[in-house]
Amino acid sequence: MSTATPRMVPIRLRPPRPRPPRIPHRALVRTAVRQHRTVLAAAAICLAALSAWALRTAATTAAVQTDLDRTGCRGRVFTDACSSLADPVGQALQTTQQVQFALLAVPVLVGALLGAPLLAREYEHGTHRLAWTQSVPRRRWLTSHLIVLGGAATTIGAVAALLGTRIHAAATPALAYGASGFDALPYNAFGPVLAAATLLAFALGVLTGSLIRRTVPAIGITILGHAGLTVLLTWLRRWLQPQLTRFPPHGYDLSPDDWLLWDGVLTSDGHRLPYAQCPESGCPADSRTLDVYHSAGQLWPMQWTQGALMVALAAALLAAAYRSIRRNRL
Amino acid sequence: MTGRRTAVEALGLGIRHPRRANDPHLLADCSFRVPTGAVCGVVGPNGAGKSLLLSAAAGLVRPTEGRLTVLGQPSDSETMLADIAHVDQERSLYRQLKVAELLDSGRSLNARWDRARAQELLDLGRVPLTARAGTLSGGQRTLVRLALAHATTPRLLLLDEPLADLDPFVRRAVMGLLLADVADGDCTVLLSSHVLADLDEAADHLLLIDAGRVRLAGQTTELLAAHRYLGPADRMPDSAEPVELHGSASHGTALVRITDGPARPGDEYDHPTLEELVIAYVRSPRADSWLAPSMRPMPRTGLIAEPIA
Repeated sequence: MSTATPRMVPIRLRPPRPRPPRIPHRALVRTAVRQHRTVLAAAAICLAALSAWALRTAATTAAVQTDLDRTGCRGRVFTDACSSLADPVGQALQTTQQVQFALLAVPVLVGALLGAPLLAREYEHGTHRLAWTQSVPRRRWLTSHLIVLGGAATTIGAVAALLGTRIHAAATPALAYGASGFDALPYNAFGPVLAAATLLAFALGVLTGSLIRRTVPAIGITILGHAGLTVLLTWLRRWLQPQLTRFPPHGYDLSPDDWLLWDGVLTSDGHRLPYAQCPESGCPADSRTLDVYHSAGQLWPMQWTQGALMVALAAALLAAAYRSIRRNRL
Repeated sequence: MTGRRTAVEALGLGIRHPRRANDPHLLADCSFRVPTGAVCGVVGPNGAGKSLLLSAAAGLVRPTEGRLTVLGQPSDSETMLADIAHVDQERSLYRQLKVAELLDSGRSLNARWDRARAQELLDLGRVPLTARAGTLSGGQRTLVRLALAHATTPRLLLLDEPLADLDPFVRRAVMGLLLADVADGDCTVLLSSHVLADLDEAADHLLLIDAGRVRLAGQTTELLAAHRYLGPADRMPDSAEPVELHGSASHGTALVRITDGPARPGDEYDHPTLEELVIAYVRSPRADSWLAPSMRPMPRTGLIAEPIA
């Protein structure tokens, strides 16, 4: 007994369709540039103006520093002999601070004007339906736009960071207490932290825009979120480098560029006592003065560590944005 | 003529609203098949799910239940995109770009691009190439979106209310251009409309959706032949399924579906028009839904082979 073996006889063959050619990245990027040309041009103009202002300020401040060294007035500007320098020093401090404030605003603006609208505007105007039904999958579409706007954000962040570093270098050694590199204002307005903050704000904007889908609310939430992150990281940074301890023999003698975290006394039985907790009669006689601080040399390691953290966070936010565009939007 | 090949097939397709908790189904349990080469009108009342179905076929919305196959691939596959074109109801365009720049973007972003085909449609509305999209009228925006879609020589064209804001003079010319491909080769068109008269001339298949469910689907000739009016004097055939009853039993008429055997030519029964048929089904939510054989999903066999035409 034999069972019939099914035989397949081809009757009509259909040649497989050739795979559609892959759209080159260059074409995608060119299209994205055209779509964003207005905001890119505006960003370039603003960046040029900021650069001119910052570099001129840095030059002025550097001249003031030279004058201080030449006249030997450093540290005693307010004595009569140096009174002629008091005005330029005050002026330099003020404009330096203004430029640093402007640099502080760079990440906020990048996040709000480049990041948040990237997806929010598409959803708001419904153009995502046009963009995502071309031959290009939406993930590649997003990549091309991230290359253009994220590239712009990175460039802006890097330039701002260099400008901030130049300004900070010109203002170092610190012209006054409260203007050292560790203070919140200069710290967030130069170096890797500023560059990374720009990227982070951009990524935050992209994700927020993708989740909120309305441009103006997305901008608002991006600004708030960036402010929150900045406050958090500014508070967190003191743990990014080992905290140093020293027993100054003659009381407080840190330089203006160090960062004093805590000072007080170490009693003979090994307790740390802040000055405020010493009894009114004075701190115990056999206690030693104690400073916990970050040295000026720890500034850059701290900047790089925090910058790396922020870049990692930005990458996580962008990954979340890729995930979120896969979701159904109705 | 339409063969047995399949352009779009839905099996138990459901799409839930991502947040709405009570009655989350925007589309529920939709099963149908649109054969290659069909011009299928998607009709139904407002909010029925027509646009959502087209968005799903365009890969913009992923099915949350069941399966939606477009040109032999899952609707959310990326390679499918090269073969479809979609014109959504809003005709969204990048407003700051000029028409010529939009066309150039279309050329950059698509696997196939035929500029001349786009120009034919733009000429119908005298759309200037130098105008920014934001300054165009509604009808011109529609023509630009149709041009962008038409230029990619799609194998599946998804049009959401394509004629809504076009004047009657242009409508015919637009449909003529868009449907020329169907006659030529293996292009399939799904177009939604709530004006049945628009579809009457163009569509050879009909898909009626109401409240997220397929109510009626089939070739228009098939649908018309399967339904008839019965008067009080007529004997109700055993196989007839009532769709809608008018008036009393002694004086009224009934719209019934008789699906066994073809309608005899020259039979004495009144057949409804397509519009009457659609309205009757929408008005009678309890009447059974019906898929004509031409739009029933293919039976699944173990073989991975296309049926032979």
